[in-house]
Amino acid sequence: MNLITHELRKSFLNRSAIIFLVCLLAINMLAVYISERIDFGFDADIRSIRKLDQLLMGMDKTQAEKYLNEQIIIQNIAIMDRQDIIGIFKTEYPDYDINKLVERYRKGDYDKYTDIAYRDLSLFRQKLLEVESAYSYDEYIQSVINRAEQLKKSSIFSDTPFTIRNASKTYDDFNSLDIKMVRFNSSKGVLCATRNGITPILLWVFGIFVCIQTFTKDRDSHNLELLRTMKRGRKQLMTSKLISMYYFVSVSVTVTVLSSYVISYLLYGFGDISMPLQSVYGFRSSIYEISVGGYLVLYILLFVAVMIFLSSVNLLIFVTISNSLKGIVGILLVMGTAYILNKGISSVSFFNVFKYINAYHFLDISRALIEYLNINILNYPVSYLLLFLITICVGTFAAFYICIHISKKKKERTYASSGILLKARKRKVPVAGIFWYEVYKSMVINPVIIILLVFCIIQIATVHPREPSEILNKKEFIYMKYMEVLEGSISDTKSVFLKENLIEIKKKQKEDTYNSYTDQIEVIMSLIAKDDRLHNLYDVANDQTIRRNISFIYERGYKEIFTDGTTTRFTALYASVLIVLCISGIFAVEIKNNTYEVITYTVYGRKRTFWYKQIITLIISLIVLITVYLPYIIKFSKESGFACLDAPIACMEDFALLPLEISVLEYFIWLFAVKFIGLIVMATFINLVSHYTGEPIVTASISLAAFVLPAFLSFSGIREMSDILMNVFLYGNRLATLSLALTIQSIVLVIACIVCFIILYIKFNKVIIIKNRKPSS
Amino acid sequence: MELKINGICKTYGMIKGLDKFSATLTDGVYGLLGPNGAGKTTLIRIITDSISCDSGEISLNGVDIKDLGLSFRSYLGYMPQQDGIYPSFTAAQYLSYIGALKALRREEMNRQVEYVLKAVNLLEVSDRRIGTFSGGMKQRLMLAQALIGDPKIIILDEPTAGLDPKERIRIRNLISGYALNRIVIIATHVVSDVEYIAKEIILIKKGRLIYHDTPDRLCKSLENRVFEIKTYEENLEKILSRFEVCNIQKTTESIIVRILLKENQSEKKDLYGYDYRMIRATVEDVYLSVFDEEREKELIK
Repeated sequence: MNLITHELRKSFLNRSAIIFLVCLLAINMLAVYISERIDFGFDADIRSIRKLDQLLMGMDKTQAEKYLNEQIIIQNIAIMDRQDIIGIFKTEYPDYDINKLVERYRKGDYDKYTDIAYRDLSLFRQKLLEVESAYSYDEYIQSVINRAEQLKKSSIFSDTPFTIRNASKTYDDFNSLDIKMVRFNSSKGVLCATRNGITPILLWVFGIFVCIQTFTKDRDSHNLELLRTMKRGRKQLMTSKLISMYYFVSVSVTVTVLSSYVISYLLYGFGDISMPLQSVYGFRSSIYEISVGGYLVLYILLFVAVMIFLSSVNLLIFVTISNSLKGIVGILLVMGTAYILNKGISSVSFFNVFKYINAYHFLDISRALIEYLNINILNYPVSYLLLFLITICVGTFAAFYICIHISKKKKERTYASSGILLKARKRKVPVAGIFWYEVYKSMVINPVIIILLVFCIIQIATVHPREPSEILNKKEFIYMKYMEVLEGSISDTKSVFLKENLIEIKKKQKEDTYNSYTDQIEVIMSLIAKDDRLHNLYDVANDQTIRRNISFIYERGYKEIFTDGTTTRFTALYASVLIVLCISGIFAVEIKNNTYEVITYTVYGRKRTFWYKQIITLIISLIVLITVYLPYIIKFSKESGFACLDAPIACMEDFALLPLEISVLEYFIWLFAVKFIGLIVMATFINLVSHYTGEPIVTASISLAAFVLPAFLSFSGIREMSDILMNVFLYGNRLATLSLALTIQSIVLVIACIVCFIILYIKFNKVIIIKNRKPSS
Repeated sequence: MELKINGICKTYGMIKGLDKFSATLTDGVYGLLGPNGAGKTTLIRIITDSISCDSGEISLNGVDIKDLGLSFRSYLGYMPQQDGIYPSFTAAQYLSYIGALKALRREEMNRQVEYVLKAVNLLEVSDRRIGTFSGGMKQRLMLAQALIGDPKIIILDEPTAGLDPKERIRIRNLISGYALNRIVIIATHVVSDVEYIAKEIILIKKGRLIYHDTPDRLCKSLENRVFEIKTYEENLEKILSRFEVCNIQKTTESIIVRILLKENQSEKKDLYGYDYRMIRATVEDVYLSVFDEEREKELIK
């Protein structure tokens, strides 16, 4: 017990561990908050979800559906107040008095939650889905039972023994389920607390840090060598290290998950936590008869268990591999393999055990409780939760045992008869160029590589293309389908096609009693208007090449990147945070370690070191630009495509004022060049501060206040901040408007950056300005 | 090789860091002695081209070091007072890096790194991270980085601070060996470090050159002023208040007090009645006689 206390005190009750934990909590809370804001949009009050949920929880099914349908109709009228739309609603909602609703809309007698009509509309639609899902739980269960029964009996579907057994097990599991009174419950808080992808990844990274604190620090400082000579320095020491690690992991996980709970609770609340888990939207396939409150507690316990398991595996890797850096690479390889297996293996494959029972999938902890999943083990269906628990328990125990077993052993040194140590490594003097040492100092001593790697993992885990059905509403979907046909240069054929198609659809609309073609007609009309605009551009353009390139462009992807919408704002926030974290130590490292005096008396210690540091700054800025923006470019290119790069940017309505000579590709390059310049300007300021303060933390704090705060405020919805400091460069699109104030501001910033660079050059290189030196007698 | 320092002046606001400091240095070890704030580090920083002087010049073999520019730095080996290390580098990596900065060729690097590591007794731990080194080991590593690249002018600021007596002697001998065809400047408070190996001693006080001579001649300047008094414990207080005491040695029977007579004291008058004998002065005695005032001020503080 005494040893465990000492280990805990040594490894975790120190400044770095506590700072790391506090940072983890702050990052987690901030990241959860930001991701929720991104999902909801930063222009509306996110607490309106909670308000609406509370209202709906007080209603029964009929009341809730009536209320939501009425609100949907009113909001639709608010968006498109036209007579034909009102006619459509009369047909679509025969049970509702549309005229009365129109009157209510005119009087303003309807509920506004976000004060933004389309946002309210999508909120009501989402809530309607949730209400329908909650109140149709019994039918859902019955349908699962029926399907399972059908599969069990019908040999057509039962192609493998697993299918039959699985159907039988599913039938039994759902048939024995006794859950009553599933009503509408506020779900967003629970989903945000337990289904966000950020907390598990952060805690996994934290787990690696805990292993380093527990074991590798002692090993690298050669303390382990000394401790091993003592009576309790092997088995007992390792046991106490492991136990103290488990203790610290448990505390950290609990505190971090609780911090997610706090943010979720403050944003959305948890609804009625005594209701069954199945009342949460998306959780109805769960077969566990627990309440929402029980689920929240169980989630923490499972999270702790998973993190203890993963930390044990990580520690085992560190113990086995004697080099800490290689150990980290080993851990990344294990997680990378798990990721590939999880993504690569089909869910219906015979080997799906490797898809689900692996480290990456374990990080999605809530799935064990909310999803009904049977794993194929030699054609027998085994519950995922059972396998999950067995793997975690056995895996943790095995890792624990092996770690202790390895630490008990002593490496035998073998000597030749001459007394020379065999297998001893030949001493080699490392020979590398100054540049590589600079890279090592700037990117390894300053943990730039780790920061970028963690960010890459977060990007991979969070940024992925979604299906059009997930992101587009009906009209947008129709528009996309039309653009698939129309995209490319304008032509008379396309104009004729649009006009003929309009006539055809209008004809169909007349015959259709439900008026289902209204949206399509609207889309075609907007496309015809667009076609007219493009033809006007064609007439205006003098150059034949420009004329040839005037095209229909599907703007959705471009708009995300080219305008200062949500994506642009949070990517700017990411980029500024990363630049501050990565650059703050490059020049400070010399002052902090007192090496500045040593390197500057050498031949290459001034100018060459200075320029190499500048090159590294450029490289880091480029990597930041790529890691921040590339995943989004890939995402949007997969979702919407980036076609017609040769077309003039003015073909897009948002950029109609730009000259025809600028193509989409040129604008694209220009925009990213401006962003890159912004990063370099920021990095130059940081380098100067870093050289003066000599402290990475102080530099980072100053830079965070100067560069990240405006980006964050702008992201939070304060639009005035978009035109301030680096946001002008990081958003880029505003500069394209050639506003005089913005242009002057950006020129001033660039000049200030050049001045900073010159000051840094003079200071770092100790350039001595000789003024009237008089030789002394 | 001749390093000529000619009338160097440097002021920090109202304070004179260096005041018309001149000296000519040729191959050999030079002990730069002086109390804190005397101007030793300022002089070193000017020689290493880290700061500029207000007036005066430094020339190497007749050429101003400003005109020599980059090539002057290839002659330099400098060990600063504070440890300037990267804790996560290994000793070999660190020396290899400094070697690269000193423009060593790759084939030369291997030989030199091993040589200096061996010289400072760190070869066995060359693969260990510097962060795990003790204070003395870091000090030796700092010396090693100054020696790498075969510099012709070696400037060492407190090179033996934090070293045990054995290492101190080892390093002293090493420096002495290196000084055969090089200029070695050792700035230190520890007089014994330079007393036996220094060709010349430079005493600096308030930015001014006080003495610049061989240790023998410096010691001769205190001829007939250093004595040893054999006395008992009850008289010690009286002696301490009356004379400048350099050392007190306790034997089984009595106490031997080493004293330095002040300018206004004489052997016959002031030592009358004591059991005393005249002895040869050391550099430490010279140091004490020159910097007595400073010591008094410090004591008052």
